[in-house]
Amino acid sequence: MFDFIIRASAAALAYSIQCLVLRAVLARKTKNWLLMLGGILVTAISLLPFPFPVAGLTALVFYLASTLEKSGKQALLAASFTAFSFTLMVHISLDMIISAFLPGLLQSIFLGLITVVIACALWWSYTHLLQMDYHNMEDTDQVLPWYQSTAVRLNALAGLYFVIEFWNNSLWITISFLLLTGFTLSDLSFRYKNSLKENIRAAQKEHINLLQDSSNTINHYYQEKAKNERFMMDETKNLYDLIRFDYLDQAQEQMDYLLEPSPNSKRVDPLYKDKLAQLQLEAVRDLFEAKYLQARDADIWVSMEIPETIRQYPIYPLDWVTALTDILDHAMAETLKTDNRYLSYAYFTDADSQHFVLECSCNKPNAPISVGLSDSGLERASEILSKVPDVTLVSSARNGIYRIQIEFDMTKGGYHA
Amino acid sequence: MLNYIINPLLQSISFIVLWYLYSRMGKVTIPLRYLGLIYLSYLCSASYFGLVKIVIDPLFFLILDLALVKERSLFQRLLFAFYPTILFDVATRFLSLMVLPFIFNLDVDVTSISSLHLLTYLLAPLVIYLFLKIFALDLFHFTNLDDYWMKRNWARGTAILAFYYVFFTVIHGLNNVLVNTNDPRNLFEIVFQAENNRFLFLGLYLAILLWDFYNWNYASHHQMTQQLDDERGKLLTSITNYNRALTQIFIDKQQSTDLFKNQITRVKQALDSNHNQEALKQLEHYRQTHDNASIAPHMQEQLERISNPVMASFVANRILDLQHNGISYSLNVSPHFGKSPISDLDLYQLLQISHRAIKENLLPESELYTNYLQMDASQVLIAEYPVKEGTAIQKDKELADFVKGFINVEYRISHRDGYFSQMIILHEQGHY
Repeated sequence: MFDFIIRASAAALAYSIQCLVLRAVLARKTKNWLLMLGGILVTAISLLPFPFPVAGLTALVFYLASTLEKSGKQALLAASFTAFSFTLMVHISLDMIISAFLPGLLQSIFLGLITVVIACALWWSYTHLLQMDYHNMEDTDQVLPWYQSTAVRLNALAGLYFVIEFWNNSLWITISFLLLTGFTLSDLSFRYKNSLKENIRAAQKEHINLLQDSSNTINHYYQEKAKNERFMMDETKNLYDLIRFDYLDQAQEQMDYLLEPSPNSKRVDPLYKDKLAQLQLEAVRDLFEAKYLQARDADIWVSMEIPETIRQYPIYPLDWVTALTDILDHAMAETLKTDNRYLSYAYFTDADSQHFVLECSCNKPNAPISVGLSDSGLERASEILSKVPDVTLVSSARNGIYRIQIEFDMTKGGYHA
Repeated sequence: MLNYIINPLLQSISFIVLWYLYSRMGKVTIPLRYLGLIYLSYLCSASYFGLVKIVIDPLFFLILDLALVKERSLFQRLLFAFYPTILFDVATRFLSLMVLPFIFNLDVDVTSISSLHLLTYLLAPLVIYLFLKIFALDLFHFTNLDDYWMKRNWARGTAILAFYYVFFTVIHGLNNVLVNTNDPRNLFEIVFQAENNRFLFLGLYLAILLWDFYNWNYASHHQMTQQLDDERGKLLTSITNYNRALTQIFIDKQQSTDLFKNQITRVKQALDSNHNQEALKQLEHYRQTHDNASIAPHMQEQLERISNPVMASFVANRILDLQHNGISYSLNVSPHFGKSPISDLDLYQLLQISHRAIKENLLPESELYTNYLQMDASQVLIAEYPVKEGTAIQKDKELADFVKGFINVEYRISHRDGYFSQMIILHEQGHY
């Protein structure tokens, strides 16, 4: 009787550890009732007097439990990988570690429990040794052709192993499968490291580009400013001469012309600094101020609203600033094509969401409301935002007004400034 | 007789493996004829030292590293000297104690059978390859790790591993010697029961090795993640600085326009009340205080000699900025001032930081002389400006820290007759 209890609890422990592994690999919700049912089934099977391919069954249960969401490919990978790698570890701990280093335990009734614990330790340490991050497995996979993808390889290995499990599970087969799995996972780990390196290089390259572009832009605006100052200086000299030689009428005319306000200047909000102070995200605040003044300088009627204090970045700060820069630049370019230049943007927060809304005049043909940003010039922003899980993106063009709406779900929290 | 053939053969195999691992880790390449010389000296020393040769191996590679590579931290040298021999040692022991006895169903250490002993040496590279491959250890990346991770990992694992390596070698060496002299009840055997516990010793050895692998993987992973974060942080800072610079320009432009309009309004009022002289005075005053808007032609000429666009626009901005702040500026650039030996990104940051350091001490309404000189194998950037009597003269901390990150950039200062000079020397690669 005691023997039965030990066997059942070993099986249950193994199963629940695999459930934890599955949750770690999948990072998604699962059908918990199905997992429970599977657990009872596996525990019951462990009490049968004859061997049964438990790993295959576990994989099947896991697969059924994790197809809650549409990506069946990922669920299949997670399910088969979990059951497969764990079974391998059980074999290794039983056939190699315990029989070589702790042979005294082979007769113990606690053999099953100890094997499961060692297997779990092995699995855990191997994962940490490789610095595996299963969440980016899918990302790394996406850029590869199917025959090189980790998912396909692991699924193939697992499937083969489950089939072989029916009639033979000698140590040699386990070792060869372990080696193959090791190669596949270390490949993934190397790829991940390489992608990190590439990202570093990409960031450096982007930085250099930014520095060159910004140097040019700053130069351009310096020249503009200098030109403006030269113009004022010339006018001063001109006026000086006119007054000195008593052409007073012409001088009056000239002064009236110079003092004439520019058509949009009256509509500029003098309180924009106070509004910006609400925004406690330094990088976004500086961006908004620069864009606001840039639009004003380009004679665009511009309005900016930040009604509440905002303390959190909705996504990674650099990404958010990059996306906003692209969107604002694009909107400004659009509105500059029109006669009635108009740009208005608002950034506000709700109890558990953040909204960015932008409107500008445009010359675009009417387009229905669409999800995402389809305009050329917004590829980078669109790519950044498409990677964010909880965001709603809507853009439309109607009656000469182009509108972008972005809403972030902030229930999971954001990045602090 | 057979030993005279087999021993050099074994040493040759171990040399090839060790050299390969060492050159990959340390990124060392040397001509083939020198390699032959090194091989011969290794063979001699290994044969001479015989049993304790395995302790000599790290020493040999440490000396080699000291001779071949000039600039390298001690911890890196130690790592590159120890790691290949440790890996080779683990692989041969793993083969001779576990794998080969398991395959051939033997119950002894196979080192006593010379054909199998040869097999352990032949198979060792394969085992090392499998270890490195399965545990995703990138030897090539080791030189990129910085000193912090080197020290940390030596303290956490590698030192224990190296100690254990020597210890293990000593156990086996002594055992072999003492068994051969027919004295099995030696003290060592009594204390450690080395022969009975050899699996335990090996298991511990492997465990320490894996722990060390974990540390190195962790180090390279974290260093890269950190680097990525740093790069992105720098990028965000640059974006913010850029936006601030733009904001500043627009505000300046707006202010000067407002000022001009106020002036014109006052002139208009004066004219309306028939005070023509007053109006002329106003205009004259405005002209005198604001005619600084453009870069003078002689400056423009100097500016054109700078071919690097980052540097050119930086200098142009500096000219306008200083003119605006009423500081007289003189610029002197060598003809054919060439490409900078450091990357544009670094150059831009260097220039920004050095400019910030200068601006901190620059007196209002004073002067700044800059010289950009092109030497044979270096570029020298000198800035001189007067400082107040009694100012503490010291290196700017931020700039000094930044320069520390480069091996080919020097930062010097001097102070003479009330003038302070900041000198930055950029050496071309290979000339420092």
